[in-house]
Amino acid sequence: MRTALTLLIALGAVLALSLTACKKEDNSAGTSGVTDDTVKIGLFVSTTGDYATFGGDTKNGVDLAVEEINAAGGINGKKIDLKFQDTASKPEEGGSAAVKLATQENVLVAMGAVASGISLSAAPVFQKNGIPMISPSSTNPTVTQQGDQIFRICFLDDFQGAACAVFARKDLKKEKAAILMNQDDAYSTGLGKFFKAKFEKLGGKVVAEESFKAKTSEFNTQITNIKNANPDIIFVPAYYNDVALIGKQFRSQGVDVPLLGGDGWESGKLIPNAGPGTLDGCYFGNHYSQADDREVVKNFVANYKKKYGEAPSSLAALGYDDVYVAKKAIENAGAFDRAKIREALANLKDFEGVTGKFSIDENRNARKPISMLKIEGEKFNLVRQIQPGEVE
Amino acid sequence: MGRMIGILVVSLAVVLGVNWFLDSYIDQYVVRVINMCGISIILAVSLNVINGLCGQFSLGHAGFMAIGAYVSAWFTTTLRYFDEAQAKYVAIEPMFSSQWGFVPALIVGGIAAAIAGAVVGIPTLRLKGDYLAIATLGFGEIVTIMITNFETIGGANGLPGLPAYSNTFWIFAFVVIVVMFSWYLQRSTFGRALIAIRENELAAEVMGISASRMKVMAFIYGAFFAGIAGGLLGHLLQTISPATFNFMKSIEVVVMLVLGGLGSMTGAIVGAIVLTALPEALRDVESEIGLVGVRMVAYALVLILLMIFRPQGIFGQKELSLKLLGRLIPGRKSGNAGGEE
Amino acid sequence: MLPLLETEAPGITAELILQQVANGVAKGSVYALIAVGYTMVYGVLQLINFAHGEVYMLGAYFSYYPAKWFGYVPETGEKPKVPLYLIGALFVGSMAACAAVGMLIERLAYRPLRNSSRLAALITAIGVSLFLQNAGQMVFGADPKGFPVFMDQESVPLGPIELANTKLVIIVVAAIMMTGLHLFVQRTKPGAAMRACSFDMRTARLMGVNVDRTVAMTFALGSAMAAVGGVLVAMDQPRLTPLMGLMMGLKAFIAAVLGGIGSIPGAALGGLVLGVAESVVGTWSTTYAEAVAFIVLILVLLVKPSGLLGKSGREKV
Repeated sequence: MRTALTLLIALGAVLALSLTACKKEDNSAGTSGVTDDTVKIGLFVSTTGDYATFGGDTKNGVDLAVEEINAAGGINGKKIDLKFQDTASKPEEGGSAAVKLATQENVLVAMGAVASGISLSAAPVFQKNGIPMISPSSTNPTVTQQGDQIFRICFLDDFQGAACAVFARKDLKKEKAAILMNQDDAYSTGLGKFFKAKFEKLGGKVVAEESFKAKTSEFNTQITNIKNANPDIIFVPAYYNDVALIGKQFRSQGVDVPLLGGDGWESGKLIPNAGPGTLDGCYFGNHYSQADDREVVKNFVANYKKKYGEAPSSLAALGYDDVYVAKKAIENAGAFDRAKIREALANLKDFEGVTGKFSIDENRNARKPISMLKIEGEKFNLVRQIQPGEVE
Repeated sequence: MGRMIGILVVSLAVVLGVNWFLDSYIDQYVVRVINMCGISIILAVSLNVINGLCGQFSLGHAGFMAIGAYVSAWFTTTLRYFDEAQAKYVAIEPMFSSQWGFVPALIVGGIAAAIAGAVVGIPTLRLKGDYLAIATLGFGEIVTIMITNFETIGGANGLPGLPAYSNTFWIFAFVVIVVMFSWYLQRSTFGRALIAIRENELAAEVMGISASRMKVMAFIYGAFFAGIAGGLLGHLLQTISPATFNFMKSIEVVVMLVLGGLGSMTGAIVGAIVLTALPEALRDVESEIGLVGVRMVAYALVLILLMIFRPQGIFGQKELSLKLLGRLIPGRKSGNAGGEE
Repeated sequence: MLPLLETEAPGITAELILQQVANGVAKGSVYALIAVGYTMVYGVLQLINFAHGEVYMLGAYFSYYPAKWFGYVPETGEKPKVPLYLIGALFVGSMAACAAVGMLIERLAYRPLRNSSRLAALITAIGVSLFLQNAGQMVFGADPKGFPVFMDQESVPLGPIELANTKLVIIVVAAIMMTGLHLFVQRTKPGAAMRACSFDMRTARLMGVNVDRTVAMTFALGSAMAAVGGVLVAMDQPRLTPLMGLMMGLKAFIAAVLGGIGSIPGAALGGLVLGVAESVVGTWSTTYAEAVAFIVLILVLLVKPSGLLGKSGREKV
C-alpha cells in the first residue's frame, strides 16, 4: 500500500519537475515571430530516416531561397530567421516538431513537410495555433482538408495521376497499361490509384498492377509479371532513386515499353543513376522543365548548381518556391500578421514560381498545369502542358 | 478493493487538476512532451508484464498498438476512401460521433489488441527467448503489411482526421490505471506465478502453475494496454499510418524497459520518461552543432554501453520507493541500493 | 477490398512460374550468403547478431569507395574495360574490411557480455545495428549512392526463361562461396574448432580450443560472406543506402531459421526456399509477397522449430 502511494507521489513529482522548466508564453497576438530586423519562419522536413533524401533536397531548396532573399534585403526589410526542425521521418516527431515551432519558436509562417503522413500530424497543430502552414510537396488530397490555415503548392495525387492517364491514353494512344508502385508510399499508391481510374474511364485497360515494398532494390518478380501481361505503357509513380533502378532492370529483362511517371522522377541524379540511354523515350509529368527559358527557372537552376554542385530535383524546386510564396504572401498582406497572411495566401493569384505559374484555389491547393516531359538523352523535353480543366 | 477505488478516484482527481494546470499555464510543447511520456509509460509498463515479469521476449508491441489505434479510430473517425468501383470518394460516418465515445472506442481498441495478443500468445507458447522475439517481430510486420493493403482505412496513406480527443487527462488517467493494475498484479498470485515462470518454468510447472495459461494471460494483458496506448497516440497525433507502427517502435519500447531494468515497473516508468524526453531535449543541441542524426547515434551508443556496464538497467528488478530513496540520500553507506546485486 | 481478390493475374503459365523460380534463386542466393553469418554466430553463441544486416550494408559501401576511386563512375557514362583482377580485389578488400568490422563488433560489444543473459546480448545487438545504421547515415550521407557499372546488364536466355547476367554472377559466386565455406568448416582444423564450440563451448575450451579466437573467426567469416553479398547486390542493384541492411538482414535471418539455425547447408537451402517462395507468391500478388517471409517464419517456428536441416534438440532445462 505504502509503496503504491509512493509510486503515485513519485509520478506526481516527475510531472511537477518537468513543469517548472517552462512558462507559457502569450502568443495570441498575430504579429509574433517578428523582431525589429528578423522574421521567424519555420521549416520541418525529415533529414534523417527513410525520407531523408527528399527532406534534404527540400531543405537545400529552402536554404538557397532564404540566402537569396536575405542577400537582397529580406522581406519588407526584415531578414528571414529560418527555424529548422528535423522530423526524422516519423509522424509523431512531425507532431512534436510542429508544436515546438508553433509555440516555443513562435514562427510567423511554417513550411513543411514532404511526406503527407508527417504533414497530417503537423497540420492540426498549426491550425489550432492559427499559423499558416505551406506544404511544399505533400500531395495527398486530405492534407489541406485539415483546416483553413493549411496550404500547399504542389499537385494533388488525383490531378497528377489522372493527367498522366490522359496523356497516356489521348496523346500516346496507349491501350494496355501496367502499374508498378511502392506499396508503402502514399504518393505512389495515390498516383497509381487515380491513374488506373482515369485510364479505364478513357477506355484503356490496366493489365497488371504490381507493387513493391519501400527500400526494395530488386524488382524481378514484378517485372516478370508485367512482362507476361504485355502492356504498351508502364506507369511507375515512384521517386527518382527507385525509378533509376526500375528502368535499368526493365531494360535488362528486355522490356522496352516506355515508362511513364510523375514529378517524383525529376532529379539531376535520374539519368546518371539509371545509366545513359536506359530511360530514353520515357515520359514524366513535372511542374516545369529545367530547360525552360523563364528567368526565374534559369536563375534557380544556375544558383542551385553553383551552391550544391548538382542539378536540382523537383523537391528542391518546390522547397525554393515555398519560401518565395511565403514572402509574397507576407508582402501582399502588408503586415507581419498571421490572419492577413492567411488571407493573402488564400487569394494568391498567378504566382510566378520555378515550378510554374500558379494560383491558390478555394481548397487552398495550388492550381497549375502539369508539363509532360520526354526523356531524350540527358534532356527532359517538353511534350505538352495539361491544364487542370482538362482532366476534371 | 475499496482502498484501490479510493486511490483511483483521488489520483484521477489529481490528474484532472494537473490537466487544468497544464492547459492554462504551460507551454504547449512541454505539454506535448509530457503527453508523449505518458503514452510511453503505458507502453513500457504493459510490456514489462510480458517481458519483465513473465520473462518472455516480445518485439511485437507496435503491432498491438497499431490494432488498438486503428480499431479505436474506426469508431471515432469519418473514414474517407477512394472507391475504385465507383471511382469516387466514399465516406463512412463514425459510430461514436461525440467525445463520450472516446473511452468506449479506446476500450474496444484495447480488446481487439488483446484478442490479437491471445492469437499470438497461444501458438507461440512453444517458443522461447530469441525465437519468440523474432516470431513476435514477424507478427508486427504482418499487421502493418495487412493495414497497408486495406484501402478503407487509408492503406499506405494512413488515416487522417482523427478527432483530437487525447489530452493530458485521458492519457494520465490510463497511466494511473495501468500503473495501479500492474502494481497489484505484481503482488497477486498471478504476478507471482509469472515471476515463477520467468525464474524457472519447469519448477513453476511442478508447483502447479499452468505456464501456458499464464503466458497467454500476460500477452493479453500487455496487448490490451498497448492497444489503449495506440488509440491514445492516434487521437493525439490525429493521424495514423502503418509506418508509425513499424518494428522500430517495438524496439523503442523494449529499450525503455531495458534502460529502466527489466522486471521493474518503476524502472519502466523512468526509462519511458527518459527516452521520450531526452531526444526532445537533444533536438536543439542537434541543430546548433549542425550534426543532424547525432541523436540516434547517441541513443544507440547508450544502449550498447548500458548493456555492457549495467545489463540489469538502472533499477535492476527493484522498485523505486521512498524507503529506497531514504536509503540513498543520507550517507551513501548502503549506496547503490538501486539494484547492484 | 483486398487487392489479392481483385487482381486476376493474366495468364499464369508454367514458363512464368519457372521464370519466377529463377528470379527467386537469384534473390535467395543473396539471402543465403547473409544467412550463413547469422547461422554460424547463432550456432556458436546463441546470439541473433542483429547487426549482421548492417555488415552487409558496409560491405557494399566498402566496395563503393575504391570502385569510385578506380574511376568507373556512372555519371561519366564511360565504361572502361575493367580487368577481372580489379573486381576480384574489390571483393577481397571489402571482405577483409568487413571481417575486421565483424571482429571489432564482437570484441567491443559482444565479448564483454559473453557471460551475461542472452537477452542483454540480444539488446546489445539491436544497439549495434541501430548505431551502424545511424552512423552510416552521418558518414555516408542518407542520400542513395549509385554504384559504378562494371558490366552492362543484359538478359541471357536460358531455355524457356532468361536471367540478367548480373543475376547469374550472383548465383555462381554465391554457390562457390557457400561451398568453400562448407568445406572450410568441415575439412579444416579451425573449422573443427568452430564446430566444437558450437557443440559445447565449455568442453571445447577444456579440449584446448582457443574459444575467443574461434568466436572471432566465426564473426570474421560470417562478415566476409555478408560483404560478398553486399558487393554482388551493389553490382546488380546499384543503389546503396545506409538502411539497406535492415530488411535484408531480417529476411536472411528468417532464411537461417527456416534452414535450421546452426547449419550452413541449411542456410543455403533456407535462403533459396525463401527467395523462391517470395517470387512465386509474387506471381499472384506482389503486395502480399512481402508478408511471405514472416508467415514462413512463424509457420516454421510452430511446426518445426529446428528448421529444415537443423538438429532437433530440446533446450536443456
